[in-house]
Amino acid sequence: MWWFQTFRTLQKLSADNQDPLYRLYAREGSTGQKLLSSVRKDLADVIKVCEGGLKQTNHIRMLMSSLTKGENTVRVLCWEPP
Amino acid sequence: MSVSEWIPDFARRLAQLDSLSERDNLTDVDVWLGGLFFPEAYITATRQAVAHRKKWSLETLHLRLDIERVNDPNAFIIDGMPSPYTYLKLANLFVGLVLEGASWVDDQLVLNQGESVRLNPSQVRWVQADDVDPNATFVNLPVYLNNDRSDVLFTVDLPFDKSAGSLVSTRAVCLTASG
Repeated sequence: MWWFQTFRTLQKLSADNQDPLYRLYAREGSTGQKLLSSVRKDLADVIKVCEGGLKQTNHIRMLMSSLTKGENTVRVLCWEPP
Repeated sequence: MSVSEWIPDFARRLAQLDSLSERDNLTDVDVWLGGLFFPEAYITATRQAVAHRKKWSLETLHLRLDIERVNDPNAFIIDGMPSPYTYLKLANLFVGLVLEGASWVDDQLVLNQGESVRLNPSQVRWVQADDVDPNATFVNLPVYLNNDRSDVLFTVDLPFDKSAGSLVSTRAVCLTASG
């Protein structure tokens, strides 16, 4: 899936720029990057559990359960923003 | 929100940020407001940017939202410099502002039967003095993050059709930003 490719996501924006809009977008970028990392990790963990390479944790169990039910997954996962 | 809704939404947000990261100039970009993680912070940042650039005090700034208008040559009429500094050009079908309960006709709000209207690109401006048309009648409307109306991003004064009278305040007309 295309969104699973690496996003550059404003990583090159440094935090020491004083321009308010620049700082805003830098923060947006780092938030997006962190969220993307945790979503990817969660999904990769699900795959590992399915393949038997990882033991289930409560977090993964909840994730798998809510993925199959299709309800409120985002809240369960703390995949907050959108 | 289910994962099947959340993932495409998240991907679009990342796509916006990704395209922003390729810009050299971040002060003059079209932005999908509802697609930001901190949309209120965007409004605050535009305010700070204008105050800084114009050497104006933050307290003296008033927010203007020009519906379906961008690059207004009369923007920042105070110093006579046309400046589209902080406009929101919400071009794409998915990313514009939506007007609920009214239509935008001849530069004013006209009540409709309650349906939602997708708006063309609009601009946000910060002005120092009131440059409003004294003959127009204004109503203060909330701009919500999305149509569940739980998060107010900001409120704006918009002109409305006088014949609607007080109905405009009882019809719960509002704008939403999520597209």
